[in-house]
Amino acid sequence: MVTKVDPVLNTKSIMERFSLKGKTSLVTGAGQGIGRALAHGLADAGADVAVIDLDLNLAEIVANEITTRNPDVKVMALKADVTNPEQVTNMVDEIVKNWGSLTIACNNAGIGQWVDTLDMSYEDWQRMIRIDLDSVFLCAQAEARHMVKNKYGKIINTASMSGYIVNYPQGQAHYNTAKAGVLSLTRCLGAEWAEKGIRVNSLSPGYTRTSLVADLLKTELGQKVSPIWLSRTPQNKMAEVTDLQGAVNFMASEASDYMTGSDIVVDGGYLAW
Amino acid sequence: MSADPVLSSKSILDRLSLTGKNALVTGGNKGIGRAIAHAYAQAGANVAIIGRNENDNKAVAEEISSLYKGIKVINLVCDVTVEKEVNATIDAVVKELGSLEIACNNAGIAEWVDAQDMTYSSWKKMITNNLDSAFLCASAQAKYMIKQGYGKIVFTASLSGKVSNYPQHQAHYNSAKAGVISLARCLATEWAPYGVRVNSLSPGFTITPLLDDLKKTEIGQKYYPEWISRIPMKVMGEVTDMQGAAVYLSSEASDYATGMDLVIDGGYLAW
Repeated sequence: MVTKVDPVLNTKSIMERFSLKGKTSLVTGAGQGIGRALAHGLADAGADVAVIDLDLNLAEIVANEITTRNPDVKVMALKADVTNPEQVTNMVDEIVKNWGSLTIACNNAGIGQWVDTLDMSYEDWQRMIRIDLDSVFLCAQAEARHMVKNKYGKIINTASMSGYIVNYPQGQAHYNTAKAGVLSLTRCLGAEWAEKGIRVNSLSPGYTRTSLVADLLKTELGQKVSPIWLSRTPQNKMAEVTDLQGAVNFMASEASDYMTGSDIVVDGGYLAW
Repeated sequence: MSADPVLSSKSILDRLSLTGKNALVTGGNKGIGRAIAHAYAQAGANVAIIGRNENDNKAVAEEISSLYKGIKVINLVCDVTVEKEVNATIDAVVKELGSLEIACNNAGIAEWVDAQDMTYSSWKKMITNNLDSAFLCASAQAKYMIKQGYGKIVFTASLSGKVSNYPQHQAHYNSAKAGVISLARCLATEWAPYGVRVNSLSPGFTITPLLDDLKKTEIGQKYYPEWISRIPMKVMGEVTDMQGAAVYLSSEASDYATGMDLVIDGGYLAW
């Protein structure tokens, strides 16, 4: 009889499994906010990072920052409109052409908008669904077409706690619906590609102090909504963008290879209340 | 103006490290608990192995201290369903290690029985072992954690807290695990102001020595293909597949996460 090898004594240390050394990654919407933090987090763990943004200038600034903080990793800045199928395909091709592979993809680009549904134009709705949901489909498909060749890949989509609940007091039915779509798409692709070695999971942040939000908090409207948000957050504070790095690094690493179609909520306890 | 957190934070790998922290694992002498105890030690934490069987506790403690240098490992016998024993054990851990930052409340039992044939004592035994124990341990741990303004509690829940397993019947187990997920949510909100974070980990089907034995039985042979057919990844998890999630939930890197459940199930819940 063959005795099964004890995995506990025969697996690399968990800290080595958290390392992303030698892996290639991309982050969309990495020119600012959460995406920028995720790109830095992947580089901290040793991954080569392609910083993707609609604004090439922002992408280049972040790429330079990463090189300064982590001089040993390869970095490239790329411009891409993630709602454009051709540009998305080119983005993946460019990375594979330069680095030979793509192992980790954070589909993070997105927009926010507050508008009551009675006043929402169909253009508002379509724009939101296109940028926050269609883009995730386009990116994941293009990435997986490459990853499937290596029988390994990690896709991490930025969803939101708004995919589970309705934010208050701001109206954003289109945003919430798009993010619920990202959660569902993540489950679907996780199941569909499970046997192909591609893992698909999502991150659901709560209220996060990005620079855009920090600016908003200085306005009259921000002063009004911020106490309401905090009163509904058990930790009574907003997330820093760095609070989201650990979950994404985990989902990008070998340490999460049995996880797929799943979501990590990092929301200060918001969903629990 | 506040400093840019991205450029001023420690590297994420440093924030995932548990160096210098004191941790305990209940049910730490076999299966998933043993794997988590090893992972805590690999990440640099001092570890207390807690279990009912002294010999098994000692064996795992010795394994860990021989493999990983520079950390302290202790082992304590405790029945986590007995309030007095739980309180005394947590006191002893804090006394021996000096503090308690991380607690993985993992001990539990399993049983298959149809609900119409389930005795009340069988129901009570399950709820006591898998749910009451989580409450007893967490409240004893939080007394110390609240005082120090920081703590990380991780419960081992299960995908069975979210679905009804097939084909085996285990209404009491599934209900207890659903209770654990709810308890994590409740305690997380209650203790959020004190810096104590409470989350759960929900493994899917996991290969443990218990399952290996089961696979040799007739019923195990019959059920195994059923289980695999419902897992998108078509394999069961290894206990080592649960280590990353446990370390993440125990580290500074998850300090803004609380009251949530991390599912590691090969995609089971997606179908």
